[in-house]
Amino acid sequence: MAKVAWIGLGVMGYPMAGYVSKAGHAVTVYNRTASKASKWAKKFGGKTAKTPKDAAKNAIDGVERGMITQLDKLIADGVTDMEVQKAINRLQASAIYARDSYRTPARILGGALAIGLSVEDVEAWPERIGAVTTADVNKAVDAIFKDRRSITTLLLPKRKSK
Amino acid sequence: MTRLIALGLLVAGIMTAPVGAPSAWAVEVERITSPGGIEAWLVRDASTPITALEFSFRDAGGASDPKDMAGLSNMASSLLDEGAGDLDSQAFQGRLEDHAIRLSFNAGLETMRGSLKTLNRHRDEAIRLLRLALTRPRFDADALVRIRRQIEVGLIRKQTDPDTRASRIWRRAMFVDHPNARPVSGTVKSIGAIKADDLRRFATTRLTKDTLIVGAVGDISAKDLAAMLDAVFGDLPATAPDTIRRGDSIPVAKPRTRGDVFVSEMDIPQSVVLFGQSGLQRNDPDYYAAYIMNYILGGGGFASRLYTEVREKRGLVYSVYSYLNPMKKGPLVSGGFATRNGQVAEALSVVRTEWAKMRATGVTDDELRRAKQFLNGAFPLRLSSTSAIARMLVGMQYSNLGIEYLDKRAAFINKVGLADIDRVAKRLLDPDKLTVVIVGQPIKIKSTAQTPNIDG
Repeated sequence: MAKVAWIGLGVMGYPMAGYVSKAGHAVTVYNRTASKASKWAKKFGGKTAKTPKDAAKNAIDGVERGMITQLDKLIADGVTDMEVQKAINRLQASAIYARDSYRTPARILGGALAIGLSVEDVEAWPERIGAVTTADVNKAVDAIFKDRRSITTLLLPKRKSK
Repeated sequence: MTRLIALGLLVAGIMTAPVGAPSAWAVEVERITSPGGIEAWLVRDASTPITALEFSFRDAGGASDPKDMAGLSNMASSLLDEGAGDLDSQAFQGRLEDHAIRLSFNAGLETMRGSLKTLNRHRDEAIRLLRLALTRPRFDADALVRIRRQIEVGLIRKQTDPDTRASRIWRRAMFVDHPNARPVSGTVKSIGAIKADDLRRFATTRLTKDTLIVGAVGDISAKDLAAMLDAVFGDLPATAPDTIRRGDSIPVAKPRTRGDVFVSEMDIPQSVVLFGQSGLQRNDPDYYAAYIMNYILGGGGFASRLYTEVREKRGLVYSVYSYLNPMKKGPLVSGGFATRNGQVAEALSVVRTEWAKMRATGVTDDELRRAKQFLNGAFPLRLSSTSAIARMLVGMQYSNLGIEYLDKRAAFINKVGLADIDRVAKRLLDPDKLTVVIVGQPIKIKSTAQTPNIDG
């Protein structure tokens, strides 16, 4: 079950929020016309909020907590050999697919040369991807995530001027 | 991350080996027949160790959906790769992902298409998954509900999109009750009524060997392709039972072109305008003349007459275009633009003038020469990947263009003369018969007939 904030119960939002609620998630709705929000809550059994911010606060906190839980797990347990192997397979496959086009190779080479890399760098990429070990990935996980230098930005509707 | 991936997407060899795509159209197309009697057209291209298979079922598009089940073909195509055989949706998608196999299905008005691309080292797994999707799709309840909601949300969102509304009204205005007027994605009501059994019936009766068209491109031998054809398609039924209404039983429509204007009011500052009349079939002897004429009239982007007159000279629109739509059951020549509500009348009048001018005086020598140069020169750019070439092979079979089409196309185009364009312009273009659909609040334009209702 997830916490969901739903802003706007128009022709599209009303039934959609209903589906989300029916699927077992905790939905808090905001609507400009409050009576419509109450009507929705009555029908689908969710909560209503007085402002979009109130509706979002709850849900976004929940999403953020969920993300942090996953990050903690990643830092504590690391990735598995199987996950790394699957990722390598997919990346190497994408290198082969990239050749099946006459635009993509030109774009890739142009991009590489423009930042001072060589054709050899580009050509050696699949091999270097193949050489990555589980320990390498876990070291990268530590380097990137351990210090928690994350920033969260919320884009909320403009508050009406009184 | 994106940059890192993009940097690396190139392996040794690309610099020396010719990229298959641009040269492929000059090479031979082989006709392969499997031991089980399934035909495919093949272009061998050994430059990359992959295989692309494109296929199409002639009568499985939205136009052949049962009347009360519009959207069936579209929904089935969205569900074929959502679980098959012993694999539920997640397991099936996981196998595709783990083997980097690209598989998709897509319903159109006339056909349902499928597309497979795989590394050769995973070809056996790709064959297995595609066979399962075609012959043993599960249509599990959870996948069905999820996909139906997804389509529903798209439909609801599009109810307020002026472009979508205009094109739906346009098809109703032209085709009235003919299946060509039916929305391929259905309606919220029609897809709400579709059940797993309907989807199963679709899969077992509409995906049949006698309507199958296959194109293959890649590093695969004729022998391996033949075996692949039987492995993938061998278990499909040979044909549909007689009780199933088939696409080829759909009559050819007579589009309603009486010079009517249909306005659908919508509170938006710009009107969306679509216009057009009857076109011609892909196999019409005058098709290439019409193709070139349309390029000069409104097909050629910045180079077209409509673009020059309506946009460059008068600044009325951002874009204006025309195109041939050679549908088998009701071909059209159509066009469109969007402009401020107050300018619709003027822009339309310029379009009519250009329509009339082309009909009266055709094109100039210079226009014809430049059109041929562009259409021949730009063609190889369409063959941009193995899948694009394989799709072309399917299209060639679908429209009966012949196996040597890629070599002959330039000659067909070069043969067209000024007199041919004159003839086809007089036959197709009649400004008094243009059907026009406008969504918005055009100033000083009224409907001349009842605008079709698409919300019922």
